Formats: sequence, C-alpha cells, structure tokens
Amino acid sequence: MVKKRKNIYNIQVALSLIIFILGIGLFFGFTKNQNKVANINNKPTIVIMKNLAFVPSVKTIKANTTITWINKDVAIHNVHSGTPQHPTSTIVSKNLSKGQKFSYKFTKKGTYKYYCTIHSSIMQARIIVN
Amino acid sequence: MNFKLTNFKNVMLFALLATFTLSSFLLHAQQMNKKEMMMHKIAQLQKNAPAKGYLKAHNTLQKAMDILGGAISIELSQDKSPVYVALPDFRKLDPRVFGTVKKPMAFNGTPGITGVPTFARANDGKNFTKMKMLSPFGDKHIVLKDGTLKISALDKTATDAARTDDKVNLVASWKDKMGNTYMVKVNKVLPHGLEFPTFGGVVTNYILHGFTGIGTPLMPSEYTYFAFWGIGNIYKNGVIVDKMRLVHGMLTEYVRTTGYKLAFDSQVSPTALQFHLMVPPFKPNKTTMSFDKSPVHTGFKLPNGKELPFWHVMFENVQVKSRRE
Repeated sequence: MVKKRKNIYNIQVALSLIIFILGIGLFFGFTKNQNKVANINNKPTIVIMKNLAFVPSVKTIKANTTITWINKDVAIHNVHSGTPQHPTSTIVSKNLSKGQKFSYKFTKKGTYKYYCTIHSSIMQARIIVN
Repeated sequence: MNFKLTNFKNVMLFALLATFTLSSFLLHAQQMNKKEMMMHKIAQLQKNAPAKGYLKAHNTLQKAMDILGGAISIELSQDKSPVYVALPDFRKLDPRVFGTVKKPMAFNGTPGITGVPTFARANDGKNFTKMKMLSPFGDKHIVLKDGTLKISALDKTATDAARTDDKVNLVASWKDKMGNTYMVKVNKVLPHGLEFPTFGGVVTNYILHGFTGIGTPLMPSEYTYFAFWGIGNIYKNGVIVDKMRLVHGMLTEYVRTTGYKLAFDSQVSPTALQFHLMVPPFKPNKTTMSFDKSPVHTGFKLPNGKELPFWHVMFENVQVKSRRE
C-alpha cells in the first residue's frame, strides 16, 4: 500500500516537473514572439540615397514612424525639409558621407517635402504621414 | 560735282568729313593699340609663370626618376549616374588665394589656366570680388544623365620630363535630354607642363589648384588623390567634333557646397570624393611654352544658342581601385 502511494507520488512529481518545464518553454516561446512582433513594429523605415536620388521619392507612413535615411552614394548628401526655394527648419541633418545615417520620427499628419541642399536641383522627395 | 571751295557750306561739310575720318582712324588705332598692349601684358604674365624655372630644369630630362615606393595603378569607374556639367559663370574670388587689391596674388601665367590678372578681377576697393570674365569655374551648372566613366592609369614617373612611363586610358560619356551622347577619350599623357608641373602626366596624393600654383587658382585648393593631364578627342553621337585637345582629370576631395556652388578653400569637404573632367578652352603652344585661347567644339548647345566652349563635368559616384605595382 505504501509502495503504491509512493509510486503515485513519484508520478505526480514527474508530471508536475514536465508541466513546469513545458510551461517555462511556452513562456519563453511566447515572449520571443511578442518581442518579434514588437521588433516589427519598431523596425525603422528606410529611405536610401542612391545615384543622386532619394529612393523611394515618395513614402507614405503612419504617424509616430521613424524614417532612417542611409547614404549609399560616394557623394555627400543631407536631408533638409522644405524645398530649395522655400526651405524650413523642421528636419535638418548634417552632411552624410557614404554609409552614414540620419533618422527622424514623424509624429504629426501631413506632407513633408525635403531635399539635399547640395544636389538640390535633382534630389527632392516627400514623406506623407497619414 | 561742281566743287566751290569758296562756298562756306562746302567748306563746313569738308571739315566735318575730315574730322570724322580722322577720329575713326584715331579710334581704330587706339583700339589696335589697346589690343596690342593687352597681348603684350598677357605675354609678360605668361613669361612670368612661377614654375618656369622648375620646368626648365626638368622638361628636357630623357629619363626621370620613379615615384617613391613603387608605381601606383589606378582604376576609376562610374556606371550610369547623373553628372553635373559646369556652365560659363563669373567665379567668386577667394581672398586666401587671390589676395587683396593692395597685395594681389595668383596673377602670373596664362589668364584663366595658370593665373588671373588683376585687370580681369572685379573689386570693392579693398578685396577682389569675382571674375570680370566668364570661365568654366563657378556656380552655374546643369545636370545631364547616364554619366559613365572608365579610367585606368599608372603613376610611375615622378617628375616632368621629355619622356614618361605614366599612362592613362579614359573613356567618359554622358547624355543630354534629347538623347545625344557626348564622349571624351584620352590615351596620351603630357610628359611635362608648360606653365606648371604635370609630374610626368599622372600624379597621385598631392594638393592642386587654389594657392598651390599647379593648375588654375579658380578651383579651390584641394587634396587630389589622382590627376592626369593628357591629349584626347571629343565626340558627339560617335562622331569626332574636336581632336587633340588638352584634357585634365582629377579625383579630389569634395569641392561643392549648398546649391552645388563651387567652394572656397575653407569650405572643402575632406570626407567625400568626386571626379572632375576638364577639357579647357585652351591649346598648348610648345613654341611659346604657354597656352593659347581655343574654344572646344563640344557640339552642346547652350540655352542662348551658342556652343558650350569647354567641358567641365563632375562625376559624383565614382568607384576607386588602386594598388602599388
């Protein structure tokens, strides 16, 4: 009788352990997925400067999205809000050499025109925040 | 005609005619004199180019020495990408390079290519402000498409000499809005300079232009990773439009600022590169050892209907390879 109880007890302990391990595994798996989802939401949106152009030249995003510009040209570029004829000071980056980046978070709805002050005659683009 | 000298009206008419003829003659003579004086002034400036003494010591050298550390081979390329083409403009003058009205600098040599005479400079009484004449160096530009570049070069010979082991092979082309293709091809270097050194035809890792006295001071002083001076042909749509033209190319630090304006020395950006291709409106004159004005037949029409008399093209996306041989 005592032996039978001991066996039942051992089975219960083993089952508890298994459930516990499974639980831990599920927990970490769930968390990882959550992080993955979180990362997707936080992934920066990219605009590339290539061949003396902003690629894409028109980008539509939701409010509170961060845009990251990456210079893939040998030439120096920058990001300056407005147009060459009507510049504004909302977005002003330093000059970016090849490989350098600049980020800006758009919080308000609207259309944001911008350009490269050096190559202003051909490098103009816009971000639409809706 | 029944001419009566005693008639007062006829006398007056004769006097007026004589005065007019004499004035025209004197004016013409004065203008000729001015032109001759100008040519004489320019000849003096060319004679006084600062590097003449140095060049005299090198230009007849049959075998120059090699550069230190071994020859350097260079390959540059750009695949179809927009290019900036300079238009004639009145270049603003950097006081660091050109000095002041009281103490001018950079005036000797052929005007525009080696120096800028003071009579070609506008001033505000104290400082020189800008060129009085149009030149290939300034802020005005247009952007043309499909700029491609392929250069292979060798820098072996160190100094100017009668013969050189330096080599350059260049093919550069670009297109206008109508689809016309413009091309420059070079496969011959200039082993020695006429008014400033050409280092055997190819030079690497040096400073040119601006305050240096090597090349035009109208370009800013700029670190030059690679440069050449050679002779090439100019094409439009595959047809030669000009031959045996002086061609200069250089890979330098970045010399353009906001709005693609040409920088002063203090505005140069050391952390980016650009390649400049220059076919200047001058031809070498080996008799006078200087340069003569000679517009380039580019075949490219400006908005005013005239032909662009030079090529000054900037390639902004050049890939660079180099190694010691």
